[in-house]
Amino acid sequence: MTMNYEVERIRRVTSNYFFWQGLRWVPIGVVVMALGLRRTNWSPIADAWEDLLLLCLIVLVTVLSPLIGVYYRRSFGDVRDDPDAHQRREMMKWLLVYPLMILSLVIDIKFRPAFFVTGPVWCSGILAYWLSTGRGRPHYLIASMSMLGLSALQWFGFVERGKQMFSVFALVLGAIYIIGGLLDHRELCRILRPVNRS
Amino acid sequence: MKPPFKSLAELDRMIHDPSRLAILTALSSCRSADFLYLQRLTGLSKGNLSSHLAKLEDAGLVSIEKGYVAKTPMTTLSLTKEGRSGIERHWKRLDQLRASALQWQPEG
Repeated sequence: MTMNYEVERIRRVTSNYFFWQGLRWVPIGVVVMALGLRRTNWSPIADAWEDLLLLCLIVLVTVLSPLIGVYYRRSFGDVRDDPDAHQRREMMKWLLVYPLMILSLVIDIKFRPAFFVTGPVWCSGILAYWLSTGRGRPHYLIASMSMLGLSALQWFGFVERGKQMFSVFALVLGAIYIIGGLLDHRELCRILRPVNRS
Repeated sequence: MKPPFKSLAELDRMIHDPSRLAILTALSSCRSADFLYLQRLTGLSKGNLSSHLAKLEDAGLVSIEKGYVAKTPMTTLSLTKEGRSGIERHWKRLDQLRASALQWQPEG
């Protein structure tokens, strides 16, 4: 490994430490997948119990999230962000990326076009996330491509527009959160090596 | 123009030591980081990291704050103003040296 690579890695991980704490995203992925399975034929749970299960999962995520934060602080240490360093990212995220992602969902829900607009928009969103949080994790490239794949599935008639498409979308998105989160965590464990605390 | 290897000798050794360079580079990418994070990032032992941090503190490049979080002792490190400008200057110098080393031709 070259010195430049090592230095870049130190900079990227330190300045985007929060986003590399992959286990934070896993519970969210479970909720998104449960949302995707809700009211579908694929769901293993009776309709009556689905909403209750979803509510329980949301409560669980709310409780787990700070605990996962504590786990990372105790096991890997703590980093405080430089608030000025990410101003551009935050501005782009709230003013451009999130509104476009929501708009694409609204278009697909309301107008049900033949082309699943959400696919390329969320593909770009994931790529923007990857670029702005330190790159280095190739699984986000595959994740973004899978969003494009969803548009292809609808375009070629493998998935029906509307409800079925959104279930598939939520399942894929949930899987991205879970798998991406686990791989982020593995990457962080590789970079932040275990230490002898004695 | 001096050959690049001669300029290498003029680099600030306090900053250029690999472990201290890693510590300062990490701290330049955030507002502050704790001892455990730096230890995991650099792979240094507790004693080695403490010794490097003490040197950096003595040189006025790093500020060390000791406190408690939920009754657990926590040491927080951050760059001083001099530390931040020092590491930025150092990286700029290294980039210049790298560029000139690529262009350099031996005389004769």
